[in-house]
Amino acid sequence: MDRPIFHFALAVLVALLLPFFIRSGTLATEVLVFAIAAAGCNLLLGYTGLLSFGQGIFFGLGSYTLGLALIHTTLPLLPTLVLAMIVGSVVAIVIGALSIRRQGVYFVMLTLAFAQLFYFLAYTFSDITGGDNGLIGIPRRGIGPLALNSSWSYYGFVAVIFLISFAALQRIATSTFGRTLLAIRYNGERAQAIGFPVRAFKIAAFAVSGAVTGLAGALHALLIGIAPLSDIDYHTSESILVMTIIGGTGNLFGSVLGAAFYVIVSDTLSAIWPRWLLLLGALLVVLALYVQKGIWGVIESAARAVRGRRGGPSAMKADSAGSQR
Amino acid sequence: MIYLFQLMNGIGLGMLYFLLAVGLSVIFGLLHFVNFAHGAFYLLGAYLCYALLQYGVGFWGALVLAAIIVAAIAAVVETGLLKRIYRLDHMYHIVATIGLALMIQEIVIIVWGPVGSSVPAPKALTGAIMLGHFIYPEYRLFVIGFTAVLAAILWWVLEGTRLGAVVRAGSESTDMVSLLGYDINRINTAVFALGAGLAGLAGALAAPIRGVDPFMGVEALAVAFVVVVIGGMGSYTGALIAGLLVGIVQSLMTTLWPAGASLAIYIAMVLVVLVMPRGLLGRA
Amino acid sequence: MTAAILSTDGLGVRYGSFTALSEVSLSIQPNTIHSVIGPNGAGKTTLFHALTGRVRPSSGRIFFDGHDITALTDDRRVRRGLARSFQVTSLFHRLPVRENLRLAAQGRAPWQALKMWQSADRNREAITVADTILERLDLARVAGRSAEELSHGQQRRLEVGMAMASRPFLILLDEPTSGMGIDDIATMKQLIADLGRDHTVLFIEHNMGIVMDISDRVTVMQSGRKLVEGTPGEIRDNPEVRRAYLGSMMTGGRA
Repeated sequence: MDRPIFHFALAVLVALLLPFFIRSGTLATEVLVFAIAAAGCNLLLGYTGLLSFGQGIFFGLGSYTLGLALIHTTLPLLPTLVLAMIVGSVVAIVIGALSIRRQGVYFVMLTLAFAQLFYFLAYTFSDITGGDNGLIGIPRRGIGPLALNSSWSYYGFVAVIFLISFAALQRIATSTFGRTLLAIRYNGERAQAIGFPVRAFKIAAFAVSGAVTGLAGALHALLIGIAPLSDIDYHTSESILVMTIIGGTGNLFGSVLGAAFYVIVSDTLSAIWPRWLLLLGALLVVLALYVQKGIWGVIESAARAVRGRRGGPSAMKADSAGSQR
Repeated sequence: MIYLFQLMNGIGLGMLYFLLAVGLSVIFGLLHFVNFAHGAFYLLGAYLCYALLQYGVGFWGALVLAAIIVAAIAAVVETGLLKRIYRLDHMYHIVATIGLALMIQEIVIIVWGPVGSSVPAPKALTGAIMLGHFIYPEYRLFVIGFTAVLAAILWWVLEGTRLGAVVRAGSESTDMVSLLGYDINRINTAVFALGAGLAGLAGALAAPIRGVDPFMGVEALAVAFVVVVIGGMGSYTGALIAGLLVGIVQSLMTTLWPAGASLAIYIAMVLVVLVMPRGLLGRA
Repeated sequence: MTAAILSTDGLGVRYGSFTALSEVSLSIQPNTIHSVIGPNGAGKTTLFHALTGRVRPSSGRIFFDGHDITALTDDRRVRRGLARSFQVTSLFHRLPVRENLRLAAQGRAPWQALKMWQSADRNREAITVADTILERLDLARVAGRSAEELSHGQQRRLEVGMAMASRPFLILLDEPTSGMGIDDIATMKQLIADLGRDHTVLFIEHNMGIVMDISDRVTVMQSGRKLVEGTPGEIRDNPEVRRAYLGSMMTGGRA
């Protein structure tokens, strides 16, 4: 259950199976887009222990970057995506460096305030961002001979990017760097006391998270053809966090599950009952009380119950703690 | 003249921000609990005031009742739900209170609809005061005066009463307070309810000025956080000074650069963090 | 007289109006075992905090291996060869023992840990150091268990191991035997004596048996100041020291 390769296989499975369960190519793509964003958020939250309300900033900026690049320049698609990642990463470094000047709860509040700051910046500079209307009319350019116009061809494209991103994030998470982040999460003071420049590592984590989230934002803008103001607002930050936590912060695949759950449920439920957020709120409360490990935690417990206990106590501890991530 | 007008608005706004922030600050100081539902209490207070006024309850009654009801609801939430999650990592505090805030927001929409309303100021205060050439709405003046009195009472409670001393002591060590024979659970509930009640009161006071809408809680929460970051967590004076600062800056900006009014306070926050990481008067 | 590996000059630490440390001047010779003793509240741990960089001194300077390190942050001091263990066990509790040590070993060259593409298992050097220490500390059996599952004595040994893993020149041990039982104490005493052979050791202790038996020099502190300093024999016979401890603690004897 703990091997990264197994999780990657699950991710591939999800990418392959989604089209069979979801009729709409747009919705399926949205699942993957937010899966990328949630995984990026999890790198900060589950691995480094940083609860950032600023993910919407990187998402929105990625969205605007792609919009501006595709509307105003002749830059091909792939370099545009890279540009969105760079923008997301740079901004994340700045915001991360400032926010980590405070710890714990203060840090959380700072990121939230930054999220608001960027929202109002985007609103104010409407000449660039389109303000309330957003950047409309983003052309869905293809890659060379490959056209991405139909919703399912775009899904295929995003699926490939999703799998590459997921694999990359896994690589990072299981690297020496990822292990160091874990150590920082469990005991930042000790990490510092054994020689790690903790600040630098946290900023590096932000850099990666920002890049990945910026990529997701860009893909989102390309999906809906608009870079809307809402991509950079507090609600987006909150949603990405919620997805990450619902899925389970114990590992990256949990984020995929969380994103799938949130996107699909919100789409289906909101059609039935506009006040479905009430249920989501209740779900969050229940999660905090009883199901802290999220969806992945539930799956893990079920698998363990079915298989009977394997391995010694420390194997059990490796779920959200351990070296096998 | 317009600046004086905006300055007065700023003071009034600042005092409301103070009410919001001081509750959040005290809750965090004692319970080490981040309350993301704080904005929802503000929202509830505003809507309850609106509803009570609609039912014909007098303004004073609506004000006081709204605050008390919000405090009561908060007390129930604290005892029934929050007590069970204190021991968890603060990530779960945030998740639970976000969930709570969502639920409250949706319930408000279910009961009162998704579109906001304006709220009439009480008849006695619909006029305007004239000081020389300066005209200022009576209601806004009332808000300033009322919150000032409230701030003084709060100061007296925190510094001058035994309850206040226990709360301040509890921020240092809850174990010590328990050992001294105080029921820390009851104190926690009382403090949480008080903080929420203040937020509700702020909402009720704000209602005649800016009306009510289901999303006013989100903005209020963000501003409360900014004030707490600037003023420093756990500090009454910090919340007061920062609240006034934020309120005044925001109000003055409305004259100079309307779109940038909200922007200004967040930029101010960034500057404070850069220059004074502990905030103006915060403790560790 | 060889140059001191660590020396301080008028070191002081103030927290607001409270003076935790005042006018402390030390000179530690390389490859010696130097203990710091004193009643509770004497400022011993604060001294360690200042020496390791966890706390900024309000006055005075610290020299390590010929360099002024007063302004260096704690992580940078580790990279210079100065490591510590904590009085209250502070490990990566949810992580395996081996991982704890691997991290500590990595801390000597942390910038290498920024290699995001390199799997942690390829970290040969750090893993080797960790394994060596596991052997030396008799913790190899529990290498795969989480740190929090260890017995108290094992955790205290791991604490020391964390300091050893960065291969420092100078190791600071803060009450290494705190809370330990008789057998564990004997093991720890032997470990500290062993460490003294290839490191310089500075340790805080309340167990006078260990202090007297293995220290080359003893510094006695009281109320944030250095009271007296000398060989164990000199300290044992010193009336001021006796007074500082209210007489009854200088029993010495076996651990």
